[in-house]
Amino acid sequence: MNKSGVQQMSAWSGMVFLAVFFLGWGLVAGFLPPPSPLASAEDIARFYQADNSMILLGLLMIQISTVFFIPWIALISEQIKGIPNISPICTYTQFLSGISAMLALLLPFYFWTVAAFRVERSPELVLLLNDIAWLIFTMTFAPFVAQNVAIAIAAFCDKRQQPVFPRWIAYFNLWVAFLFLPAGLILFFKEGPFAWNGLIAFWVPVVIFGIWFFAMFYVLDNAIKRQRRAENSL
Amino acid sequence: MFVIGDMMIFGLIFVVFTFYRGQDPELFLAGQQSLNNVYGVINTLLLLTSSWFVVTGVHAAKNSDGRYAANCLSLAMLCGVGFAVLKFVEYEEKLDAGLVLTTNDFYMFYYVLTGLHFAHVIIGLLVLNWGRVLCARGLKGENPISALESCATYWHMVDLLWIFLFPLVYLLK
Repeated sequence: MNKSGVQQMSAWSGMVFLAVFFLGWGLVAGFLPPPSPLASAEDIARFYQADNSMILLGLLMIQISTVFFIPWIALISEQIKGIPNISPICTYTQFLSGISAMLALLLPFYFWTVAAFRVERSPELVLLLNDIAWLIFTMTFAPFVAQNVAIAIAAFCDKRQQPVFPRWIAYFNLWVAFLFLPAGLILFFKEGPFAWNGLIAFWVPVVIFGIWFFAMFYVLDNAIKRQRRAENSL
Repeated sequence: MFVIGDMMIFGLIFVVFTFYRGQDPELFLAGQQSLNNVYGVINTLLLLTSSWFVVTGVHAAKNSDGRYAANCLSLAMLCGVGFAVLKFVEYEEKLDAGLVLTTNDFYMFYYVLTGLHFAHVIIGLLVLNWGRVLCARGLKGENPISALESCATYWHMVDLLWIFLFPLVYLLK
């Protein structure tokens, strides 16, 4: 398979990740909307008991989805690397952030799974596991912000006629980075707009995360097609 | 585009703030009384003055007077630093009185809005400095005026956000 074919598949892989992740996490496991940080241990334990097999299935889907996350990250790194005179630091930062971001998805998966694995567990313990998973999942803005800023910088450094990342996606990435920041406030609040189920600290980042995928897919797809045409005409 | 996006985030928090205030007007009024309007007014004047310096500086740069432009930007930065210092003083007073982010909903918004704005002021100072250096070094490069205007736009946004924030949080009853 040629290079652009692999890249094309990696781009689609990102969209597959998004679809499988949201279906598994949101719909099947029923984690959307998130449980309230104020919920009692009994309530949380009951949540895991009630639809246990669906939760476990949804969690399996989450793990499967992370497989498709990897080539997506690698694709972005490859395109950044291809920018003439780009500093390797840009590439490494994005690459490292991408890996850390995957951890932000996998670690909660482990703790949600342990919570759902033994339904007879004491509610206090289930609450603890639930807290750990949700806090990791919702609070971890750092790798996403770093990745977005790295992409933006790479885009600004691209002085070609047809840059792989046009100006608007650079600004969009910076905007996305900003919108992730309020998630940092989650550790202070158990209710309100800045809690892990809050409008500004949860819903905005989650929605923007999805939109980012679509925007980046559009840009990457165009770049890959352009690069393939350039290759073929040689 | 970035500036508009940034303002949208603030806009969202302003809207949510207004909604929460509608739910508990007494709490928000009481919280508002504890705020120092004098500091608020001084901060407003500082930012407006700094924006004026930025406008003057950009104008000078367009007339190729890099040195003068750099000086204007330095003065603008000085105003910005003044804002920051006063903000520190204001926060210290609040913290000494035991009023923190989690005290109640009003203080949550107070700290988040002013804190987020403050972060923008700090970034704005860095952006202004970059512009200042650009002017001091003789406005070289591909499109220095355009770059300088981008810096100016960011700072004006910081100013504009405060113009909304101050009345909304400190004054409006």
